[in-house]
Amino acid sequence: MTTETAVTHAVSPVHSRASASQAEKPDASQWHNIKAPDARTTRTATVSVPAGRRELAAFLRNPNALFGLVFLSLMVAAALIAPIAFPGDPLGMVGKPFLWPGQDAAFPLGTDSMGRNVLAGLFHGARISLFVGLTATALGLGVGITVGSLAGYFGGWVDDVLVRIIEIFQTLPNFVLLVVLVAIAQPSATTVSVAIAIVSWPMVARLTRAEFRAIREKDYVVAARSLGFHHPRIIFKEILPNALPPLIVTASVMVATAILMESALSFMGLGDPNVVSWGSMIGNGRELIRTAWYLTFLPGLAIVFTVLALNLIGDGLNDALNPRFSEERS
Amino acid sequence: MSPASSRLLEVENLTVRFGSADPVRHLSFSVDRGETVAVVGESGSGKSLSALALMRLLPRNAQIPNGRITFEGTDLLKLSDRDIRKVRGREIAMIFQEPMTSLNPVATIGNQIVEVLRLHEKLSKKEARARAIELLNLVKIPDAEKRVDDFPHQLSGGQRQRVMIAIAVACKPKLLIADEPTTALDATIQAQILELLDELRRKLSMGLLLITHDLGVVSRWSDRVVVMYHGDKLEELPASELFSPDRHPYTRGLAQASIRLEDGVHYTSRTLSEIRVVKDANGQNDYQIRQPVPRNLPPVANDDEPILQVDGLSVTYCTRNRENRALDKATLTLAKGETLGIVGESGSGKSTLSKAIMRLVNAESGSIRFQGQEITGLGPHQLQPVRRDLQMIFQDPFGSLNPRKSIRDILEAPLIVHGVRDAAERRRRIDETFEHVRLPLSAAERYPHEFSGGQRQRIGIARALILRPSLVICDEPVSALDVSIQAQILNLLVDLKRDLGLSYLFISHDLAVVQYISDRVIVMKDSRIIEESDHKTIWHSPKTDYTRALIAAAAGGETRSRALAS
Amino acid sequence: MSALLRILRTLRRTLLQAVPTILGIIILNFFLLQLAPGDAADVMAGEAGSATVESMQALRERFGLDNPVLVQLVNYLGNLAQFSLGFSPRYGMPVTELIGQRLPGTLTLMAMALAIAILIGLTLGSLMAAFSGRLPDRLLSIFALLFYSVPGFWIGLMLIVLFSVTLGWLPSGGAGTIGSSYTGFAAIIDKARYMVLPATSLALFYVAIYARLTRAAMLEVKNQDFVRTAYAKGLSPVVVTVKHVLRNALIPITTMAGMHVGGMLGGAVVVETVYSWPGLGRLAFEAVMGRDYTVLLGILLLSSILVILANALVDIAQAWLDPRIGEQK
Repeated sequence: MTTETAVTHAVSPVHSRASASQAEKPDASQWHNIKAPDARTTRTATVSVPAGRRELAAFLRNPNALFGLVFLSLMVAAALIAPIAFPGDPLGMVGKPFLWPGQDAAFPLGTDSMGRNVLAGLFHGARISLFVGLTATALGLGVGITVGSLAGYFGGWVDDVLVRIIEIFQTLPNFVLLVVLVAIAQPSATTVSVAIAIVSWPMVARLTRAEFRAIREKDYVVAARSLGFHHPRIIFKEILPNALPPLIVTASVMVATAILMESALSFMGLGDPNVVSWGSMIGNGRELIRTAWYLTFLPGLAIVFTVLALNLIGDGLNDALNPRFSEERS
Repeated sequence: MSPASSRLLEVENLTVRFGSADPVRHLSFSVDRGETVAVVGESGSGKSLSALALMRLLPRNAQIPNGRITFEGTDLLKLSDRDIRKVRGREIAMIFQEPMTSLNPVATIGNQIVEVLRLHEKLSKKEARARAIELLNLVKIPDAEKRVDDFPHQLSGGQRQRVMIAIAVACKPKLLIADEPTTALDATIQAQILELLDELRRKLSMGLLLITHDLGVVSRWSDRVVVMYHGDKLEELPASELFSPDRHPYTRGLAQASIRLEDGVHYTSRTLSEIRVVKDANGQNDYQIRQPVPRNLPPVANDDEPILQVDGLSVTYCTRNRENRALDKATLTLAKGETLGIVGESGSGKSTLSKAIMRLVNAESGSIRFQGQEITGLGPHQLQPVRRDLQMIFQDPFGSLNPRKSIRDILEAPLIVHGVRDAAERRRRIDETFEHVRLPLSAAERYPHEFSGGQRQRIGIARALILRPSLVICDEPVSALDVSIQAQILNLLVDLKRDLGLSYLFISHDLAVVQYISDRVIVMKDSRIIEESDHKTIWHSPKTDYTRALIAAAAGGETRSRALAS
Repeated sequence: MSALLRILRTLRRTLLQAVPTILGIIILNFFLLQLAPGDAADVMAGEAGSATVESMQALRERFGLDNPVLVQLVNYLGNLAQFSLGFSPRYGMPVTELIGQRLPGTLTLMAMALAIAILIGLTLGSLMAAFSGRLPDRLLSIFALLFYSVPGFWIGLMLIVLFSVTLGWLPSGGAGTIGSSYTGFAAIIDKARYMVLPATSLALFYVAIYARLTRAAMLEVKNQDFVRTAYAKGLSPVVVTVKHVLRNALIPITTMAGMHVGGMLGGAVVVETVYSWPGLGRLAFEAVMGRDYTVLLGILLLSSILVILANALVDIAQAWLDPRIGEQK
C-alpha cells in the first residue's frame, strides 16, 4: 500500500495530484451527492471531449495561461531573432564596461565588467535555455513514457525490474547527480541536456506507470483484449491517448524545471563555457553584486518570467485537461 | 389538515437551482412523526438533491431561490448557520449511499460516534464511549466492546452502514433521512439494513425519509410515496397502491418495467414495458408506456453438442504474499441458443468465471471447451478466431467505451484486427449492427460522452456483436442502469438472441433479472457453484439454504413468499 | 498496541526494500567513478605543477588507481563494508571524515528550510483551500507560482543585495562571526543571523510546493463523502477542516516531504555556494572544481542514503497517520 500511494503521489510535485488521485478512485463522482450513473453523464460529458476543442477553449479563456503563452512566445521569438538582432559573439567586448541600464542608448540594459552587451546576452541566453529545456524534456519524456508504459502495462517481473531502476534514480538526489554527470561528461549544451534528461525521466516513468495501471483495468481495455487486439494497438490506441493529459501538463513543468537546472549549473560554472547563458551571466555578475547588482538582477528576471510563463501554461493545461478543481476556481 | 402536533416536516414549493438549471422544481411534501415516506425516482430525478436541501448540505454553488422547509414549526431555510448546525445530527440525521467512503478512514468508528454525542449532548469522554458501545449493540455490530476501536477499513460494507446508522441515531433524532441506504450493498445485507432502519424507527419513534430508486424497497418499507421525475413531483400515493393500475402513467410504467421475483415473468412469455417520455407541443412531458409484442423464440436445442463446456475450472490470484482462490472447480455446460444465468453476491467468483472463459485471466486447472475446441491452452494467435465467436458485454456503460474514440472507430477496430480489409464491407457491417441495436446511423461520428447510459450500453452491445459471435457473456449488463432503461436493454437482448441465434451467459446479482432472462440458473457463493437448476425449479424449490436466503431477501421477506408460491 | 506494530512492520518492509536500491546505487556510483576522465593523480600533479611520469605512477600505486576495474570494484565494496568511502588525495584525509565534518552544516540548513517550508506552506495552502476560487486564493496562488519559478541561487543573491548590502541587517555569507567569542544565547543568535538568508532562499521553492500541494489535497479531501457525513453531524466548518480534512490531507503531503529531501540536498548545493555555507553542497562544488571524483561520488552515495532514511521516516509518519498502512492482510 505504501509503495502504491508513494508511486501515485510521487509523480510530479504538484500538478498531477488531481489526475493521479483520480486514477486511484475512478468512481469518485464530482457531483458528490449523486452517484447514480445516469446523473453522471451530464458531468462526464464536459470532462472528456476527444477532439480537444473544449480543452483548448478552456485553456484560452484562462487569463493566466494566456499571459504565459504570450510571454513564452516572446521568448521564443527573442531566441530565434537573436543572431539577426545581435550578430556577432555575445561574449565579445562591444562597449565601455559597467554601463548601467539606460546610461547609453546603444546598450539599453547596460554592459558588464568586460563591456559585453547585457541585452544581447539575454537574447542569446534565451536560445540556450530553451534549447536545453526542450531537448531535455523531449528526451526525458521519451525514455520515461517508454519505461513507464512497459512497467504499467505488462506488470509482473517487467514491472518489478523497471520499478527498481526507477527507484534507484529517484533516490539519487537529482541535482547532485546532475552535477556529477556534467562534471564527468564535460559540459556542453548537449551533455547538459542529456544529463537533465537522465535525472528527470524517472518522474515521467512513475506518472506514466500509474496512469497505465489505472487505465489498464478499465473495461474498454478489457474489451480490447477480449476482442483480440494485440499489445501495441492496446498500448498506443487505447491506453496512451487517455494517459496523455497529465503527461502534457508534466511536460510544461519539465521544461521549466530543466531551464532552472541549466541556469543553476551555469551559475556554478558547470554550463557550456562557449555560449552565453542566463545562469552564467548571473554567475559572472555575482562578484560585483555590491556595485553592479543589475548584472545579476536582469538575467534572473529573464529566468523567473520564462519559468513562470511555463508554469502558468502548465496550470492552465491542468485546469483545462483535468477539470476537477476548476469548479472551485471559477 | 392534520393536527400540528403530528406533522414533523413540511416541505413547500422547494426549488433547487444550479446556475441556470433547476434540478428540483416546486417540490412539496410532508412527513409525520413516526412515519416512513419514500421519495422514489430514477437518476436525475432530483431526489437526492431534495434530501440534501433539507439538511442545507447542498454544494456551495447551489441556491434555493424559493420554498419553505418547516421542521417542528421552524423554517430551516431561515436559520443561521450556527442554528442549523444544532439541528443537524441532533434533530435531523442522515445516512448516505456509499458506506465505503462515508466514514473517515483515519478515525476509529468509536470516535466517530463519540464525536456527535459530545457535540450535541455534553457527555464526558467516558460516558460517550459507553454510549457508543451501546449504540453499536443497538445496530447489531457483534462484539461491540472490541470493535469500537476498529477503523472503518476493518469492517464490511454492511457493518459500515450500521456504523453510519449508529452515528445518525446517536442523539435520537426526530427525522432520519436515508439516501439510497442499501444501493451499494448485497441483497441479503440490504434486507437486514432496511429491517434495522424500520426497527429503529419504531423504537425511537422517528420519522423516516427514504430516498430510493427501488420500487420493491418502497412498497415494503414505506407508508407513503412521492414519485419524482426530472425535478418534478408527479404524484404522491400510499405505498400499498404503488402497483395498482390507476396511477400516474410514469408510476405505472416504472412499476411495469421493474421485474419482481414474485411475478415470475419470463422472456419466453412476456416482453417488458418500456416508458417513453416525450415533450408535447406545450413543452409538457407526455409519458407513454409501450409493451412490445411478444416474440416467438425457437426452443433450445438440447440434442446438439453444447456450445460451451467448462470442467473443474479453477483460478487463483497471487498477490505478493498470499494466494486467493477466486474460482474453485467450476463445472457448467451451455447449450446452443440457451441463456444460462449466473447469480451471486459480490465476491462470489462470478466475474472471475466470465473472465476465465474469455481467457482474460489464466486458469490454474480445468478445461474450457468452446464449440468443441479446447481453448485453455491456446496462445494469442490461436485464440484470435475463437475470440470472434466469443464476446462480452460489460457492466459500466461509462467505463467500457474509450472516451477518446468515435463510435465508428470503436466498432471498426475489431473488424480491422480481425482482417476485414475492405472499407466498404466494414461500413456495411457497422450500419447493420447499428440497426440491430436500434441506434441511429448518425451516432457513428459521435463520441461516447454524447450518449446516455442506455445508449452507451447499446454501443457496448454493438461492439460485442460486430464480429458476429455465437456466444455472448453478459457481465451485469443492466445493473448500472435505471429501471426503465433496464427494460429496454433486456428486451433488446432477447430480440438479438432470436434474430442472431445467440447463446448467453448472463451474470447478475439481481435475481429478478436473472429469473426473467435465463433458461437455466447457476448460483455461486464463495468462489463455488453451489446450485444449478432450470429457471422455474430454482425459484420454487431451491435446494440450498443460501439460495433460499437470496430469494427471501430479493422478494422482501416473508410477506412476499406467499405471492411466490401462487 | 496495534499502531506500534503497524509502524514496525512498515519500517521493516521499507528497510528491506531499500537494500536492492542501495546496492544499485553503489554499483552505479562505482561505474560513474570509472567513467570520470583522468584521476586524482592527474589533478594533484597538475596542481603541483611538477609532475614526472614516475611520481604520477607512485601516486597511482599509492591510491590503488592502477588495478583492473573488477579489482577496484571489489576494493571499493570492501572499503564500503568498513564504512570507508576512500581517501581524498586533495584534502589529504578520508572522504568519510571529510563528509562527516560538513554534514551537520547541511543538515541544520535543510532542517531549518524544511521547517519553514512546511509551516508556511501548510498555512498558506489551508488558507487557499478555505478561500478557493476567491480573491485570497487567487492572489496566493500567483505568489506560490512565482516562488515556484524563482531560482534559489538568484533569490539568494537578491536577498543579499537587500538585507546585507542595502540594509546591512544580516551577514552575506559564512556560518558565524569569525573570531567571535559569543557564548550561550548570544552564540545561538549569531548562528541564527547567518542562517536566516540561506534557509529562506532554500525554503521559498518548497513553500510554494507545499502550499500548492496542501491546497490540492484539501480540496480533494473536502469533496469526499465522509466530510459530508461530518457536516451532517452538525460540526462547524473549522472543526470539520481541522479534525477530518487536514489529517487526511496530511497523508499525501508527508509523502511529498520525503520526496523533497533529495531535491533539497540539490538546492543546498547551490545555496551553500552562494552563501559560502560550510556544508556538503559547498564541498561538492569544491570537489567538482578540483576534479576530486572520490569525494563527489562519496557525497552522492551518502546523500542517497540520507534520502532513503528520510523515506523511512516518512513511511513511519504515514503508518502513524493512516491506519490502513502496515495492516497485515
